[in-house]
Amino acid sequence: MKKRVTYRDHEYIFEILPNGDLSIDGEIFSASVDQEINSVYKVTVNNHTFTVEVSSKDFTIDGENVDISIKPFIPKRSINNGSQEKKNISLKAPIPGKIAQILVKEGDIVGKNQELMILEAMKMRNRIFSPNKGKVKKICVKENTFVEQDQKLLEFENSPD
Amino acid sequence: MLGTVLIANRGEIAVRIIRACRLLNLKSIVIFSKEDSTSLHVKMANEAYSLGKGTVQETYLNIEKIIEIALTSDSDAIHPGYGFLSENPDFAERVEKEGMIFVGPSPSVLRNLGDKVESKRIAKEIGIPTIPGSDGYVSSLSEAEKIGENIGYPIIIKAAFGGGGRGMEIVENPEALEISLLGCQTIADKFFGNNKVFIERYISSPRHVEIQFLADNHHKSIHIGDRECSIQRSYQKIIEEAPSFLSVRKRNSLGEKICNLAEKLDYRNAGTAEFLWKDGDIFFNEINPRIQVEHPVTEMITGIDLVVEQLKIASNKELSINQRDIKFNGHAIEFRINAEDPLKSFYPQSGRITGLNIPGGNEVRFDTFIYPDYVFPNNYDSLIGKLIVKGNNRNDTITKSRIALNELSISGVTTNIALHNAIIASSEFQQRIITTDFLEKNKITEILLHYEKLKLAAILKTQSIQKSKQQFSPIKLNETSNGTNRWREQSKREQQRNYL
Repeated sequence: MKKRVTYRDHEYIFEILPNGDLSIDGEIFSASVDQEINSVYKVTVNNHTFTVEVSSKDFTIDGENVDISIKPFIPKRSINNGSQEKKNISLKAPIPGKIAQILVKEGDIVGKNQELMILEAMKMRNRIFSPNKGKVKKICVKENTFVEQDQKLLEFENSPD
Repeated sequence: MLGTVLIANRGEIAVRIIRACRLLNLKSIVIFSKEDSTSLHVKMANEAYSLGKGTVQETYLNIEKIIEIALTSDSDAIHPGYGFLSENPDFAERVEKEGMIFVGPSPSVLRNLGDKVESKRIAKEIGIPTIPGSDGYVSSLSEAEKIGENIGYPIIIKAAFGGGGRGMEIVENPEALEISLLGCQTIADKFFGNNKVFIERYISSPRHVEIQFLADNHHKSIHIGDRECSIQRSYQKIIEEAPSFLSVRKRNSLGEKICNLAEKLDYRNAGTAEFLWKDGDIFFNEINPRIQVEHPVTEMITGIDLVVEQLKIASNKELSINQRDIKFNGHAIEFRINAEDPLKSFYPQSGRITGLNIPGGNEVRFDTFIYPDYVFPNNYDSLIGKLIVKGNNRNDTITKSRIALNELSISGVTTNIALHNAIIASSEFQQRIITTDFLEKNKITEILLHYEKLKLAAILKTQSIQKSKQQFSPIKLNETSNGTNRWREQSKREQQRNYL
């Protein structure tokens, strides 16, 4: 049965195959547990050995704490038909910085993942993308101004079709 | 000798300078913004003064406030570190005007070097090869057309005071020249307050080489070897190594020329001359008039403490090291550990450090300012530490680095540690086939994604085994009444089943 797993802010689709192998985003991995000492596992995946520690709330892999959350996988089509996605979204600044460039204007129709703004923070130009196909309803900031984290950048109207 | 040094910086470099001050028995004064009040430099310094809350302009770039703190704390000198005010001639001038010492070159040298055309002209005079291009600034289209014809396309238009990958336009053919020239002039004016631009031949996928030098206040200068910093992401270095791939003869001849340049400029303190290398040709790019992030790789192979030398020079001491004393021993690589997500276009991350494992062993160094439970702010640079590893030769160093990178773990924020693992695992890196577009060329993010999936597979496997165990034995797992570990028994049985 396919499932969705969120690992380090990224989502993967995985499945445990009948022979014990794992399929992650279509790539097949054979994993085996070599040892287990006080809930510390030595796991070998494709010739790489990892140390996985299990606690009541999370996992530690090679010394690093990680969180995973597993959800059932529902193919995309049924998501769209089922629960209605939010129509209006406000995009917020993920980090504080300066609005270096605004690449769209109010009323623009944009595609999914289109570059909308460039937020500059300490030499890095961070691109703000559209979450979906839709319309730019309102731009809430001006070029060359500083924004705080979570400050509203623009209002966006979803139009999936 | 100086008595008290104010460090006008934060992060790992502030900590690094405090260590040098301690070695020389100098009192260290630091400054901090509200976000940095729990940062390590604040804890380590002899005295710490708040810059209050606000933007970078209101805090670490606030010249008036910093000068005021320096005066009330009776500082003799100000060490600017890198970034922030380190290359600002107005700041250096102000420091000197108030009767203090700026740990760096004089304001006039900073002014000359900040102007890319001027520094290029001086380098050319000394006989240092520069990138073919305009002799000065270009303002009209007809001038630009003539230069383009002479040096051949593609060309690059650069803002005179630009930097960090900004204010540059690559022009592929004469037809695109007019719009690119106009665009670059507009950006230069908008971001650097000056619309002056110049033109150079565009050098695609070059290698980045640089030479470290030191000059004292008594007309003595020495060059301390080279570094290669070709592994970059969005024009920012992420892996640096020393020595570079240049031959000993080439390294020495460039070093001598750079010392001549330092002499001619009346340069003082530490500096780095940056070059671009392509197909056997090497071209001068710019001089960074400050300590650099990657200075430790030079320290590792020469044994020279560059920050200590900076402070000694600022104290008006003569350089005690002679050119002939400089010997290179082995190979060193530095990995910049950034709080950023390589799989999400290097987006800066922030958060609480919930776990920290620092690697150790022979010739393994980790310079950082984070500690467990430290809340890492996202108002500044994403650099959270530098792992520096030294070995007998490059291969030896790569092996040691792999072990050290595996040992290094930081929980709570996403870092680029796994990216470094992916880079050094590539045969291109191992064979030193590296250029500034290494990451794109070798599809490193794909390798990284594969690594992430390997780890995820290990976790999911562990989880599934653990789950099935819980189903088998609803009673207490760890121990049974007769003292045997049931969990282990179970695991053994299961493994056997897997192998059957």
